[in-house]
Amino acid sequence: MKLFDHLEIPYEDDADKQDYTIQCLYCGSDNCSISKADGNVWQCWKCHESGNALTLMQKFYAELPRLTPSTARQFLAKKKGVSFRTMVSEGLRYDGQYYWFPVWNQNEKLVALHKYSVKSNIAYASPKPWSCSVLGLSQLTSSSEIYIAEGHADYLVMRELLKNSKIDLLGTCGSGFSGNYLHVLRDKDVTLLFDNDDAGRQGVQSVARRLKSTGTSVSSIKFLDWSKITLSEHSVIPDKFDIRDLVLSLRDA
Amino acid sequence: MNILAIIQSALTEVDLNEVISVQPQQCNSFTRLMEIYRQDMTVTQSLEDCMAVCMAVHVAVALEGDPLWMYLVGAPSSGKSTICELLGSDEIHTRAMSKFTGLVSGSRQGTHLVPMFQGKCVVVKDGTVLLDSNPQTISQVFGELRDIFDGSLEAHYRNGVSASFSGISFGMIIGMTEKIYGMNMSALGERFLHVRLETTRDTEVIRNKRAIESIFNTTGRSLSEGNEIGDQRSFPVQRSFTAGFLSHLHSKVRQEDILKPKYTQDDIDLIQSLGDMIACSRAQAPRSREFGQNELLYDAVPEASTRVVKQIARLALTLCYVYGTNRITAPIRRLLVKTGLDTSYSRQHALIRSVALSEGLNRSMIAQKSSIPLETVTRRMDDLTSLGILYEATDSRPDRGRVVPKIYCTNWVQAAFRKVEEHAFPDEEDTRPKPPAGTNRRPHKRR
Repeated sequence: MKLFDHLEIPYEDDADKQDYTIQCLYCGSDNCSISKADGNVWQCWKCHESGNALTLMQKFYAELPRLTPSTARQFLAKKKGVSFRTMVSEGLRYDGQYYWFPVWNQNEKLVALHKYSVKSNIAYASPKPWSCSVLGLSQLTSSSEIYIAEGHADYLVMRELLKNSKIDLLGTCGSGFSGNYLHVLRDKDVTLLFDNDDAGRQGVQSVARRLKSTGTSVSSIKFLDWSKITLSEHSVIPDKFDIRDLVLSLRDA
Repeated sequence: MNILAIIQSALTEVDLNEVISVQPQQCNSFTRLMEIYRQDMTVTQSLEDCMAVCMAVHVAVALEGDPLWMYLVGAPSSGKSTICELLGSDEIHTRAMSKFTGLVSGSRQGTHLVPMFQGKCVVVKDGTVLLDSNPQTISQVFGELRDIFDGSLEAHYRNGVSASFSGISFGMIIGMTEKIYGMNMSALGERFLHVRLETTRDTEVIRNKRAIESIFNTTGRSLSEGNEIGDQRSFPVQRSFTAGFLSHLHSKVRQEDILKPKYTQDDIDLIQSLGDMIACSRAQAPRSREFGQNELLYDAVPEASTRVVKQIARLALTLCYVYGTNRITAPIRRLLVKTGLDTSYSRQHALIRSVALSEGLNRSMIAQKSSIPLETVTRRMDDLTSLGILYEATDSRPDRGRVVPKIYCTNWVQAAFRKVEEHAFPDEEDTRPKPPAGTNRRPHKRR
């Protein structure tokens, strides 16, 4: 079960049995069964709680310890420019190994959980079909402008920058935009804040292509043209430079 | 320092018109393109012909002169949409639309389509929707089209909105069902040629078999479930190669000297004959529609064939680009004849043809030959006589019985139809067997 692997929930897979067995997230007993046939339907035979993968993920997230300044320190040291306040407001949590990013849909329901390891500096999205890669959906307003930041850290930095503006913000895992959520961009002025690298430039083309091929009409689509930015410390903006780097450079200047 | 302001000052807008969603694959020959099509599609001769003609229309946009406008006519589910979608793969030179309901908007908030069409080939998948509109709308839209065909359009609305365009040129390919035959615009100057996409029962069975096998054997995930190859319904590979081939054609026009194809006097005569045949086949005699009367109002004449001759000549030139040749070859002549016959496709054409290929027929013989009811034949004969296409004459008085006049074609009409017939059935002698009843309304159908 990829979801258990992602959440790092140990499970027993006995080939002779029809169910996987995990420790119940509600009562802690070892009698929680997950049907192999039904994929993700689970039931605890002791406390009689039951649900599906989403409710399991929601319970898992609810049980995670809330972030404190001390538990956030590692992240803040690694991702300078991000503020503790934004991390808390975005609902990040830390279990001692991973920082967990909750991903909410427009109805403010948790639909995916991303995890970030400071040690490996890699963020992992939850597996399909619980793999919503768009952050910030629950905070969309009726604003006509939407900025899209690449990656979790840039998203957190931009969230801080835009806190007093009327511009909406979304974040993506990587330089692209899921086709499932293109509809939220309809009739908006969309701005892509992708990194200064080949992936970022291709990402702009990819999003534009998707918008066009799916007939999603936007008022405008703009991208951050790194060649237009001048910084005193760099004659040319370095490859892989991103929003967080820009914010740090300008703050230091 | 306002970081947000710095970011905003460095934003650049993406022009979605320049964005390509289909990555073109290099393809320099029509034959190669058809090989690619055959990998996943059931390619009939008719589909191949329609594709060649539509591509010729597409490339005509890059050449000066009157644009080429074409109806792609076929029964529902005959493959018109597939052709239109494949043509829409070249997003640089194509403006693909699902429906078309007019060029200019009278609304203050509306946008005029004309500037978006300039220099492009407009491909409309379903033009039949327009025919379902009310007569005023149809008349208005075709009025706009007639104006813009000549390059300029002036529209003024009662709410003060006006639109004025000049120097406009764009190609058009509109997918239509056979409902289009119910509308004859010749009296107002028809601008569209027709190309028919024919399907047979055999083709349908083969196509259905492939579809069933494909569903059972190669159904993939949907795009939203992470299918990176693309929706198989839209033939992603074929789209890429079509985009590549169209791009190749347009590059050829842009970068090389314009083709000056070799032609013969016979080619000129054929094009003239096709023009005459089309003009006669769609000529309409004016009849009174008032108070249940149905009388001929006056003696009209068929449209002058100049425009249609120019269109066919341009089609011949652009087909040279499609086939990569510098002379009017037999396949090009065949497609010109097909387009001519498809544009002429009507009962009236069948009637004139019957007479033109004979040495004079009486009405009942025409009815028999063309499988059209005698009553209809009689009414049409009156129209065609009034138009000066046919005339009645009595050869000689028979020894007994009443005189039965015979109907003949005017010389130039007969010459035109016979010329076209020579090219439509080049291998057959004049004494060829007559087509079975009911099929002679499609004399161009490949046998």
